[in-house]
Amino acid sequence: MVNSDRLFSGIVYAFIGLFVLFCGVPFWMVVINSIASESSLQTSGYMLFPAEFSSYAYEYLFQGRQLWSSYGVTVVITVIGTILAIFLTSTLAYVMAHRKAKYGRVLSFMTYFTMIFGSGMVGFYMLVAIWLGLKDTLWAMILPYLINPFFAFILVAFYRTIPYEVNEAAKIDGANEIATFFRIIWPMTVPALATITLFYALQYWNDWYLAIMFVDDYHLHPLQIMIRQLIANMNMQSYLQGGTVSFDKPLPVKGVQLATVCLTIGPIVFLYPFVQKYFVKGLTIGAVKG
Amino acid sequence: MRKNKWFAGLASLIVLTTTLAACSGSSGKTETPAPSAPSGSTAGETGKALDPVTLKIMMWGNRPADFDKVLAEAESRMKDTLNVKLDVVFVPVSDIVQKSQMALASGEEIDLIWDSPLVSMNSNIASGYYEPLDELLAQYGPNILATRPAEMFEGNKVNGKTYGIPLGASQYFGYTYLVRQDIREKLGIGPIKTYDELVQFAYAVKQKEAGLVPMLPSTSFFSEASFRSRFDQDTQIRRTQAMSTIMLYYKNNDGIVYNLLDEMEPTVWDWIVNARRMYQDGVIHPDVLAVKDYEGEFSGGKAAIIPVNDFGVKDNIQQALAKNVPGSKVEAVTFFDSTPKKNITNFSQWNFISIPVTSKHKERAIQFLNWTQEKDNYDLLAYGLKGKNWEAIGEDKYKPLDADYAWFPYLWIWNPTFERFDASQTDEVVELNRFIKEADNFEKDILTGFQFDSQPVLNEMTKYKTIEDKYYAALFNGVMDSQTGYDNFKSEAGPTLKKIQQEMQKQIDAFLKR
Repeated sequence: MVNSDRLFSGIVYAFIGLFVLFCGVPFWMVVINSIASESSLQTSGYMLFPAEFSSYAYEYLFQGRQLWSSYGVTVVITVIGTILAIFLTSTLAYVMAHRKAKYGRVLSFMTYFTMIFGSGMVGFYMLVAIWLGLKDTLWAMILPYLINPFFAFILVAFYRTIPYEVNEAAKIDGANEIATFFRIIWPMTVPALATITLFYALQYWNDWYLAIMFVDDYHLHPLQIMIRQLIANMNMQSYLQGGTVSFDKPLPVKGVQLATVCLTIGPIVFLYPFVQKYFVKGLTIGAVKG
Repeated sequence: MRKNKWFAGLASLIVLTTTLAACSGSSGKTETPAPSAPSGSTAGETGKALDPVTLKIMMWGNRPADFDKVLAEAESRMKDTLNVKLDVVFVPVSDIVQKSQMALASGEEIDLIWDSPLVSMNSNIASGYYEPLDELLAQYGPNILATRPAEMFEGNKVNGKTYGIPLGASQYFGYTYLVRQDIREKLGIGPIKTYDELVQFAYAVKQKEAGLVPMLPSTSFFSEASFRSRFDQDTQIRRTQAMSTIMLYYKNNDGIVYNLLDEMEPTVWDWIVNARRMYQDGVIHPDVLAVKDYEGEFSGGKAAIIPVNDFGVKDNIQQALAKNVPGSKVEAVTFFDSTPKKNITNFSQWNFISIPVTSKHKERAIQFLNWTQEKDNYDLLAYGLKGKNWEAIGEDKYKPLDADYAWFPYLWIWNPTFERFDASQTDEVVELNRFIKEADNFEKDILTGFQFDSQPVLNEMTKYKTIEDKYYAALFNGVMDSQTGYDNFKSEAGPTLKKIQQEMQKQIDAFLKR
């Protein structure tokens, strides 16, 4: 019995260990090869332990001001966007989930409708760029993502699991709707909100699409665009022979790609453990008795 | 209720008419130029500045570090005459298609935009996004016309109109094999002059240089057997406008589209069989179809011969290789025959700058481009600040001094008259580049100006392309057995390609009748 238990956990550990290795090795390759020298990348490819190290790729990335301004833009968009999005999505979802809200169903339908039917690209572009005049503003990268119908419905499902008696109790104690939502419901839905926060933050952090569409001014380029620009054009320049790109050193094409990966995943990766502690269930257990 | 309906109908009618009016307004001339209509230099003499205008220009690429300084200098030169400010938007090359489509379709105001038939130019013209430029050029663009041979305009018209100013410094595309000179000298082989000598060198590398792949072609047109068509001086087998490979091809100057699946051309068959032999002998890279960055492999010192565009050795390859393999040297080997009138060309170009119909400053945009086609201004915008970014070597060469203003005139101003040669290239290469600048050195293709409209056979094109991707590179690099590969290719794609060929021939016949 004990032996077979050990065997079982041994197998499980081996399996998980292998899985960790599978996930970890590519990550290790990216990190370690980002500090490999360009010539070792070109002559021997990606290796577990590169023969020669160099920080040229990072120097190349850090040499301009663009990296810092792009970081700034991305952080601003992510923070403001996530806060606004969470606020709007949770309040909308609350109304949609509320039993007594008058237009809950209409709102649900309108939200659901946009999940299935889109206006097409050109319509969207015209709305944002021409009618709202948001071109070359930070808002163009924030507003379109404020409400994600799918996330809203996740929250709706979560709100529905909260017994309505909680609302009634709050009402009897003299809380109005706003107080009920922020002081009673909101704390009870922290796990769901944390999940959605993570989703929104990642969406804002990783977005390049809105910036490509609506931001021509390179001062406002977020991180992802900068990277896209850098990588796409470095390859292109060596392909098209941009005349004379480099002088004493060839461009660290491969190294820069890896270095940018490392730099962009940096801050956002720390969001996971921070949010993870909220991924707990069962907060509502015992809220209503009898 | 009824009233409301009427009101809605009326309102939508008003909206409709105003939109239509706006459309027709924007396609007409919206900016009335000053009566003196200055065109560059003449304005300088009168010294009368026009109203300030900011031109928005969209192209792809990286914003060079010194771009703002160069723009400031350009704007100050134009201050008393054209009074143009420039708002240049650089889009990552991977997104230029989508971005430009969106901007054009939504009617956003852009004054000048880069485009290419390889990207989306033909469909953009068909959608009516671009202004025909012939009249504007005649009125405001004398320098633009004077710096390019007339054939360059003629060869790039669509439906008889110029929709984009052709950007190019040559009338013919040069192609080259890059060869590891140090290996050649080490093996005691003399300079390579013919294709046979190149093959001999490749076999010598195979025998004596273990660990070095003799030859690494690429895919599509850069497959070994189809790349050789660029050096086919006798029959002039060349690609058509329909596709980038030679499955449909022209030959001599007879205005007929030939089809390799219909009837195999003996010369091409020789090339294919030769490639098969080299592949089986291990002279062509065994993983030729899987190598993505074949120039990177070459600069990593893993291959001795690769085929590339243009004459001469690319700087970045030379430098990367020198760093990766100390003591290595690259030389350019081309079998291009520079006898005047020997080669046929249709003067088509790959880069254009166009004016969207929505631009409100069409005249000024042409005036600005006209201004760039003066030697001093061209030097500024093409090479940057003299003395800082570059220095002149002789009349028509230049040497870059730093990396802060990467070369990109092909996106907006490139012309054969003022483009300088890179001083680091050998005299032979400069001579070849000088040769291909001149329109008179080439025999004019009777199909000059013909554009293939693929609309009628769009389905066939898509279907054919899928099959071709399966076979072409494998067949032309000798990876699959020549006879069975060809037979399979033929049985799968034969009828589809035939339809494309027939449609193309029909359009060509109509073109030649005109």
